[in-house]
Amino acid sequence: MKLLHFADLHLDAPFAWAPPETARLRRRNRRDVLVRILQLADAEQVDAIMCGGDLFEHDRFTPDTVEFLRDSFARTDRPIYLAPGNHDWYSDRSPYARVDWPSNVHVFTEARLVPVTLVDGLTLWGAAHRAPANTDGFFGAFRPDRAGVHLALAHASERSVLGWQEAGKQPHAPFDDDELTAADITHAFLGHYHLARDAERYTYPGNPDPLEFGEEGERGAVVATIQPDGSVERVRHSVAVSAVHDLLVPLDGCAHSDDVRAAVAAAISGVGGCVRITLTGELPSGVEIDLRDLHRLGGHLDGLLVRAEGLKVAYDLEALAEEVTVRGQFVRDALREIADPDQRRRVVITGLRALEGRADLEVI
Amino acid sequence: MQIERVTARAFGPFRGRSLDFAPGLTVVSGPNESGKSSWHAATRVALCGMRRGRGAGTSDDREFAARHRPWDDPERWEVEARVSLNDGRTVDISQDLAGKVACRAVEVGLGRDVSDEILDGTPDASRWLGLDRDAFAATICVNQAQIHSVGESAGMLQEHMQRAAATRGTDATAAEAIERLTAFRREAIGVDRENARGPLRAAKNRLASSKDELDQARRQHAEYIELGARLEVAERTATEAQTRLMVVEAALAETVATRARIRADRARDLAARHPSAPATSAARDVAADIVAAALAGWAHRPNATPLEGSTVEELERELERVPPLPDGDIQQHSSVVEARREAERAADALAFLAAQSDEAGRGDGAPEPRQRAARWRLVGLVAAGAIGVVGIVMLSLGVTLAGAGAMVVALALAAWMLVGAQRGALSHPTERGRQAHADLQRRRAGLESRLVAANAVLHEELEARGTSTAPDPLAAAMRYESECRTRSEQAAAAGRAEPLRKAIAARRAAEQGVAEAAAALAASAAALTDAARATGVATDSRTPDDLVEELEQWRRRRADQARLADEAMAEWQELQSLLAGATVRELEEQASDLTARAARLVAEIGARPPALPSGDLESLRDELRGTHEVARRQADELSGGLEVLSRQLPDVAEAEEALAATQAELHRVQALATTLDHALVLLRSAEERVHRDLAPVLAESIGRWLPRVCAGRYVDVTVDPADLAVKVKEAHTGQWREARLLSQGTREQIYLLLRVAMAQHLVTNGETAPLLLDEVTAQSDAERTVQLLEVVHLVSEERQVILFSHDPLVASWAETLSAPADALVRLSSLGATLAEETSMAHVAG
Repeated sequence: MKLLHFADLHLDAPFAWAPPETARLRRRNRRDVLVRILQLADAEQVDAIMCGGDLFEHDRFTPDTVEFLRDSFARTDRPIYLAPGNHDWYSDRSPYARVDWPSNVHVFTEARLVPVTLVDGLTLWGAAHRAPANTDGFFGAFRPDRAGVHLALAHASERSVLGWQEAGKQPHAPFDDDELTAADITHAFLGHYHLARDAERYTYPGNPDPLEFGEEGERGAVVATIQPDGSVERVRHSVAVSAVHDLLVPLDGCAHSDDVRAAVAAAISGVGGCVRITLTGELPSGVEIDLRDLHRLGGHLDGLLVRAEGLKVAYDLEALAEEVTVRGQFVRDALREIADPDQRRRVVITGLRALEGRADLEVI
Repeated sequence: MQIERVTARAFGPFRGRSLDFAPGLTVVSGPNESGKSSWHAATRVALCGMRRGRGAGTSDDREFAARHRPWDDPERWEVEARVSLNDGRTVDISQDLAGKVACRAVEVGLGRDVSDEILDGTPDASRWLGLDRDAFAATICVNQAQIHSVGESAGMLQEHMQRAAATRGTDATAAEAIERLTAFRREAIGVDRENARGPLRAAKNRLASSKDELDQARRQHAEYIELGARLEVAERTATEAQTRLMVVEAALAETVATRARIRADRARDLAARHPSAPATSAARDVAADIVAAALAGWAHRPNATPLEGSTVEELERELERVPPLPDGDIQQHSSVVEARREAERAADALAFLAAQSDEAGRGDGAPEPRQRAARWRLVGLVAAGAIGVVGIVMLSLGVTLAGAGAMVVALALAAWMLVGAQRGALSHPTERGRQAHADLQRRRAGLESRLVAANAVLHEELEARGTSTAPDPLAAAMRYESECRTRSEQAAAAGRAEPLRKAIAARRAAEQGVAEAAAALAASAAALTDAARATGVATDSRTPDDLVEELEQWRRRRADQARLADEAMAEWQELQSLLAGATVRELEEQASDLTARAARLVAEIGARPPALPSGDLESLRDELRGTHEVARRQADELSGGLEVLSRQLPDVAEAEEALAATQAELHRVQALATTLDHALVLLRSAEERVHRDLAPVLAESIGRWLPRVCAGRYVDVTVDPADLAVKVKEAHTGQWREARLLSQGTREQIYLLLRVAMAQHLVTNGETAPLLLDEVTAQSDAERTVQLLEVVHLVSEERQVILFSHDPLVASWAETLSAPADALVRLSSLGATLAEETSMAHVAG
């Protein structure tokens, strides 16, 4: 049997770093991803489509998104199995409960594994989160009540993976790998972690379109072929509509603002999508940087975020501190009194620029 | 540090030319176009080199290169300088100004490369002074423009000092920097007051708005979800109500259909039995009425029961025999009874007393009194007996009180008589007897009087009652008593008259009633006979009872016929009512339609319709219809509300993004404010401290020279730590005057002294900084020129001073210098120099 599995689409998710138009574009992109997933299902002629949770954001979904989902699912006659996650948890007020889904959509509603017979001898056990947090694991005490091959579909956290998954992830419905063995689950199709992971007995497809900067690497929708003996063959397909790039742009050697612009333009010229650049290195003190000017360089991109926390300005503070001038005294006092390195840097540069008669007194 | 020599290998117009400088004052004099500026520039750049970096360099660097780079061979631009340091070293500095590669500083003598000590891209000898290229130019070099500005503007003196104190003269003063920061803060932060419009307040306001908008978005989103849930419940309720209504309507439809079928069937039956309207039965009613009346009359006939008892005549005869009422008392009047009693008592008492006297006389020899007493006792007892009889009669007649009184009197009298007899038998015949006899005599007299009185009263009473008292009252009283008894009997007999009259009247009425009853009975019988004739029933030899029976039978038959007729009429009317203008066929069709509708409604309920209810279906239907309408309306209202809300629903994600953006902006502004405030605090503190430290240094430095420079006119100087304003004290007045208000020449002199003091102050590593003066007297008249030159010469006593000037007066003045530490270098015009060089080249070639 051939199944298509995806998870963590997060329709209607916010993008706090992006300007409004970019954020709207990112959200539109996620809808296009779902269309691609359904097209992939047709292309691969899968027998069913599974979603391992976090399909949308319960606290933010719009009526239009719900209608989009309903309409999209209605355009295919393939069975669609949905296992609500911690962001789209099931309740009587959830769209899962209130929308008149087409007949091919099956929503798992219990906080425990319940069966759906895919074909004789092959059972899909699905579970739902019924709250945004504090959902216990599904597999620990589970034992199937029938023979055959058992697959699972759930939004769950494999404990051993938590350490290297993206920062801030909490263990929702935690489990250990060996619980699957004890539960006689041949393979678990999961969601929650955005980084893809293909383990022997479970699959995290990864979020199909990156949400945050840093979400790079292979991710997408997984087409799994279930053999009669229960073995699973997986092929991951990219269905992303957008790309995100995290770039470092060293500015060492830049003598003036044009050099800075050129460096940034060169860094982003070969990429598309959303780009976050981090300016690094050391600039001569006389170089002015206008972030708004740099943002305008990203006209061909979906969005450009410029960071300059790592950028240093080449003031010889040691030499300045030896001056018997007001400048020297200022630098000495700042170096002595300000403990926070970043604040110290900002204050010193601000004061020095003021003494230099410059107008760019805001240090980025 | 002293600059011994500068060699222009290839600099400006010079090729391999050198200029030596004296350790004290060196005046480099020459006309315009003699290369003074070039030598001045060469000297500075030989010491400090040029900034090394990528790109075209700064505009100052480009202008410098444009002015001093050799035109004929731009790729070779070299200059050298030899300097001697306070530590005894002599260093040759080579500057490759074109490529900035072959630059080095080599210690003469040891040949050691000391470039690293002063390397800043290229060797920069100003570092031996603790300065940099910019500070060297600002501190060590004094140019015409600076001197001129001080001379022209009173405030420039102070400003130069402030600038030097702040940044070694390279940049702004501390006050300017503070003002710049303050202005920037005002513009970029603003005040944090409620109605302010600055960026900080605006960011806070936007943040507050964003928070409100996000709260509202979340609230509306939750409301939308809740409304959806309520709508679902309402829809479910409405659907259930509709289902229940459909069930009831189906049941009602079935009931209606059933009724219609029954109605049609009934109409069909009735129409079959009554194809046309039946006849009315009004014509037979008259006979029936007659029979009914006759039978009713007979049934209610009166009973002619014969009367018993006396007839009217008998009663009238008896009435005639009733005696009239007697006149006189029919009962003894109480006054007569009382009077009689009293008389009798008195008589009895007297008789008793007489008896007692007889006893006493017997005891005392007097038999007559005892005999008399015995006679009186006998009379008394007889009287008691008579009284008793009267009492009994009175009691029997109902005169209870008088009768009882009479009985008491009788018994008392009798008892008294008996007691008196005993006494007489027991009385003692002696002295006691004599006293008793006297007593008796006395008592008898009293009693006799009493008796007389009582008899008188009795007499009066009897006479009043019409009874004569002869021969004696007591006898008359007894006669009265008998007469009363007789009248009483008569009165009793007369009392029967009235009852007899009433009995006569009743009897008469009864006899009349009997007569009437008999008449009625006869009439009833006659009515029966008439009714029988009217209905054809035989009347011969028939008793009324027989006739009644016959007539009852006739009436029953008649009633049956009427009933049948009525039934037929009722059925006909029922038929008309059922048809209501339609035909039987139409009723059947209607019933069929209703049956089909009912079946359809049942089918609409669903695959498994619930059991259809019974009872008052119409009321139930109306109730459920109302319930369904309410539920439907609620669901529709909720649906409408949800539709409106969904169209107006704000985007929560966008609101969160807006909040994040405003938070980031506020954080940025607040961080900027913190940075600016911190920088301002530190700058102000640094300014205050440095000025406080510098002011006395400057004052001391100027003070050492001021009297000599001003020829004793000013004897003291102060520098204000707040703003480095200089004041000098007039010698002859002792007054302090602001230096900026002094004469132009004096200001220039003081400025030079301040520059020297500042240069000394800023050079912190033990070296003595030279001064390079470029045309500092160009704007001065002769007097001021000489004044300035005198100051310069004084300054050169402590440090090397190199003065470039085109002024012949300066050259003339320098001619007068005789100390070996001083020198005058005269430059010829460049044209002559080039000719000389060319000539020399030709000679050499």
